[in-house]
Amino acid sequence: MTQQKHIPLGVGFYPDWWHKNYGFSYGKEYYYDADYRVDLQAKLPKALYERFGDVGLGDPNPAPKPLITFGMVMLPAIFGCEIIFKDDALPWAMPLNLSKEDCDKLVKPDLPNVSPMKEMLGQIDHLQAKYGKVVGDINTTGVQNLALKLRGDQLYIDYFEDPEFCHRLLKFCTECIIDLWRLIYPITGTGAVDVTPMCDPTIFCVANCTTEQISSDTYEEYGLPYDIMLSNACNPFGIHHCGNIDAVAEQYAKVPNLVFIEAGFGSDFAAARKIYGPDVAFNARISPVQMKNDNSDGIEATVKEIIDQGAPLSNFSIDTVGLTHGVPDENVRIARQTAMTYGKINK
Amino acid sequence: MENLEAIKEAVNKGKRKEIAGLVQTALDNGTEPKVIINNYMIEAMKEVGARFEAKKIFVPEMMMAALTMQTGLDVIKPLLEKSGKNVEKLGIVVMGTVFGDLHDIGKNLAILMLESAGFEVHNIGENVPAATFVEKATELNADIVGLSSLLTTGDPHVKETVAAIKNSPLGDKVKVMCGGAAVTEKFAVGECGADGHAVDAIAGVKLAQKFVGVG
Repeated sequence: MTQQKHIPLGVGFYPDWWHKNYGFSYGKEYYYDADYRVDLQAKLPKALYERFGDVGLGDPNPAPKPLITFGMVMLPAIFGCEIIFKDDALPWAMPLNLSKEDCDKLVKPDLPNVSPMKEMLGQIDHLQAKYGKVVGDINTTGVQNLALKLRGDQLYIDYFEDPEFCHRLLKFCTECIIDLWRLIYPITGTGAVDVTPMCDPTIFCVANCTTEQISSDTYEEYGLPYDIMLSNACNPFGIHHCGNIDAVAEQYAKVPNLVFIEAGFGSDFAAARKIYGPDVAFNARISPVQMKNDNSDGIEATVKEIIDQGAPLSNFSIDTVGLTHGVPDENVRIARQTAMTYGKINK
Repeated sequence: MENLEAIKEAVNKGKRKEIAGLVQTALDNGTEPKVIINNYMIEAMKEVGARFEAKKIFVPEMMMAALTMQTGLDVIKPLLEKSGKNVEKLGIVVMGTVFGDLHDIGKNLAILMLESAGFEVHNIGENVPAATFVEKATELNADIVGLSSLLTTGDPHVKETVAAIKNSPLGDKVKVMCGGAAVTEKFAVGECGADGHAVDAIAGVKLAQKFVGVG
């Protein structure tokens, strides 16, 4: 008997879910102590298996996972942003709010010799010696994300008042991202693990978290040229867009070497699928707010609606990343079960 | 009249570099400051808000419009102060992002829009403990406290903060409004006991206006 395949539906829990349910801590130690991280990583699949093994999550006997990660704050940290680590949250970089003059004085970092990249390379050496390999990579963050960390919200005013400065800063950020990818990719062979689990890990996936805040015209002028620059240097190319993608969906289609798109809840997934075509892998996200506050009937209806929008279903996936403490287990189960039963792929 | 329409247009399109000259010309032509503010600048901001709600414009355009209005107000304020009439304040708002959450752009945008609508707004930052909200609202004699929360991890802190305010001597003297991607009407009002919920910065302005009886 042949088993019919179904679309994947990934589940990602936010650190506070792990911390409050199991006492696991994602503070500074998690990012700076490779052994602590590998030990913690071994506990996660077991805990998931015990809790959600019935819907295919977790692993009772996981192999050691010599993971590297630095949240999304490596480049901001290198430039001097204060990084806030918490046991129950992802690390967060506080914006530097640099003046235009200070932005223009920034120089590309000597990545292997600057903290915390230097320490990360030390962790990689340690893990390779101990396990013979590393998995995971470093999320480079996106171009505008990084520019906002350096310049602050003022960047959005600069878009109107000083385009030349903006282009200088965005180009600088792009070059730093490319340099980081060129340093890490030969070591890990991946460029998407630290961004999203929903795509081919060997591609380069850029995190365009703040692109939701700008119009298609602004993206066309200040985002697209730099995503093209990235995709020409780091490819095959994927885009993580955690917000509503509708405003920039057509512009993203102009990025060469595009093989993956991830769009946030509220997006018109059907329209986006049509724009990119069936050959570009597409991941649709469910709102973590809905996962926490809705009942299982509502979650089932949403998953079905997304699956209906996603056809054809090959190259299509869904995930429910960012699930926080208080999300009913039943909502996780119903999301997984609905993908298995309603998301069958007809070949 | 053409010049006054140009003021409206400048705010609408975020022409910050033009607004001061346009306002000065209008004043030189004898236009009452309050007419400039109420009939043209605030009207422009209402249009900006409507375009934002309709997803015709985005965060940078909103920020630009609000800053343009503030630049225009900077020309008018000294005149009003000199004549003993200050720019009418609709109320005092204390705004912050709840404890455990470091996001700031949504809150900052809401602050700009509230200021443009005539509120005196005090930004108490991000990662703000419940006790600090109470302390600042008391110290500043606030009419409204605004809580921002982007992550659902902030839910317990939204609840705790609303309770801290409502159980303090401030009680119902201060209105509490909640916004941010993680917060729903059902949660903020139904579960936490806040006085209102705003889906975005524009809704926040409308809610704040309603609280002070001008909406």
